[in-house]
Amino acid sequence: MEFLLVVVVKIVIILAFISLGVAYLTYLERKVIGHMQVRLGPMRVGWHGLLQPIADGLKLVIKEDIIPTQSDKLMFILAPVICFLHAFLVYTFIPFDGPKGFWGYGGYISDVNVGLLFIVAIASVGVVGIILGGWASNSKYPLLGSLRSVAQLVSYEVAMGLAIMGPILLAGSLSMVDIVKAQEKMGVWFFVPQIVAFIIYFICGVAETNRAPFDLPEAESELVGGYHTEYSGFRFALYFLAEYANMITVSAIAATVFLGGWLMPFPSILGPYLSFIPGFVWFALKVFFFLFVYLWIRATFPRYRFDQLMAIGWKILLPLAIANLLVTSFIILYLKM
Amino acid sequence: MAEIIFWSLSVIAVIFAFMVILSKSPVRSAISLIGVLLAFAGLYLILDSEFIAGIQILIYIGGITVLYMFVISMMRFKKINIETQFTKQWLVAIVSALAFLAEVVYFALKGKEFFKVGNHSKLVTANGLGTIENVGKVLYGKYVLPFEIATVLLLAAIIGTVLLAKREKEKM
Repeated sequence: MEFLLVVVVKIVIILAFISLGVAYLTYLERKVIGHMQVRLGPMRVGWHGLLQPIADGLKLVIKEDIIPTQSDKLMFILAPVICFLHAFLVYTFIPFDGPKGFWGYGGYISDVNVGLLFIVAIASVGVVGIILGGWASNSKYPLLGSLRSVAQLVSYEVAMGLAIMGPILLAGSLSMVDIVKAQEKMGVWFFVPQIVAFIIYFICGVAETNRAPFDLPEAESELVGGYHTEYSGFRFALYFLAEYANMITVSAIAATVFLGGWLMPFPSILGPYLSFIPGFVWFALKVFFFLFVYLWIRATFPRYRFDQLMAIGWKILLPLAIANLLVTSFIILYLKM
Repeated sequence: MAEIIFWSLSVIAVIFAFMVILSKSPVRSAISLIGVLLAFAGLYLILDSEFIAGIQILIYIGGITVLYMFVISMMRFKKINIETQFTKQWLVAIVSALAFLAEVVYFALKGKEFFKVGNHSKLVTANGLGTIENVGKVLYGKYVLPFEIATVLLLAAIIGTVLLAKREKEKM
């Protein structure tokens, strides 16, 4: 009974934290890009616009909910829910802190021995919500947007999966907790021996979340708004939240697999001074770093053309990922012999 | 507890399977298929096969069903009447389905005499039956030849598809 209570409390805390994080990620995006373009960003609601995400959320909830008459109504309602559900379900398997974290209760909801596989699998189901939304709207631009989106997601999923295989080989486990423990044991985070996989993973991660410079599914100058053109009000908010939650997911996986999750940097030097900081703070800092890079990339690079996007995915990233996997496994085999 | 979960998942799978056949829109059929596959993934989880469950979701839902939907949504379907789905094939279908059902029931009751299954509890080791270590050892050890033959077959299919698609393009 106590076990169940602990799990429920953890779920509530993590869900609340992620929802708040998603809301303030939109604020961060507007602020960071604003300052990069020598503007101020939102300033009116609250101190330096700090209440802006809450005002936006309220606006989206109050707005009129429109369902197009020619649409498949049940599927139209179901699609954003599928997207949202799978974006948040993934956090079950992400370790925010070590087994001793969260004051001894364990810093994760569950540690399955194939945790990373489950994360990738659940994230891949989110695609269904996108294509379903585009189809159910029964309109040109959403359909084109969703087709583009699915082609892109399916292409980059392959290279992404192969890129994560490198660290998995080094750790010898698919469990997220074990991967971090392997990095602690090795004394170096996996982004050093797996720098190629790290770069491939992050590029694919940006493409998987439909972000600039790979935001073709939502290219507003060509497609109005992509797969969610016909959505309004709260249903649009669900898609929006799912997209930002996916950004945090990709960053959290990158932080866990390549940057040592909840571990502290340079434990031999900083250990005596900074050991009072709990692990989830380090984890949050690493996730924040990746999120900042996301926004930085958006403010810096122009959008790719669709054929360029496919060429990068299939002709550059995929062969590189396979080569990295082969070299890594040969080195591990050599070291074992 | 496991039995309650097993039966509820089975009922869900059967209901969704009926919806796959009976729904008028192909996209709704595809969505129902996802329900069936998810229920199956849950059944694998009860059997302690986390790896198979993950692969089930990743390959069947994330890969195959998404490609189905990709193809379906590119086609324009007129409203398909439910009658056109039930042509005269239904007689053949019912006979073969009943034959299959009889077969399943027969082997479920008397199967142990035909197939020497052995002691099931021996298969489930401390590590569990479906963990990656066990699946890998069996797949790349004992059954490496059938596995490699299957990969060659798939490769041939991929090359054939590319060849067919290319030829059509040159005609244009």
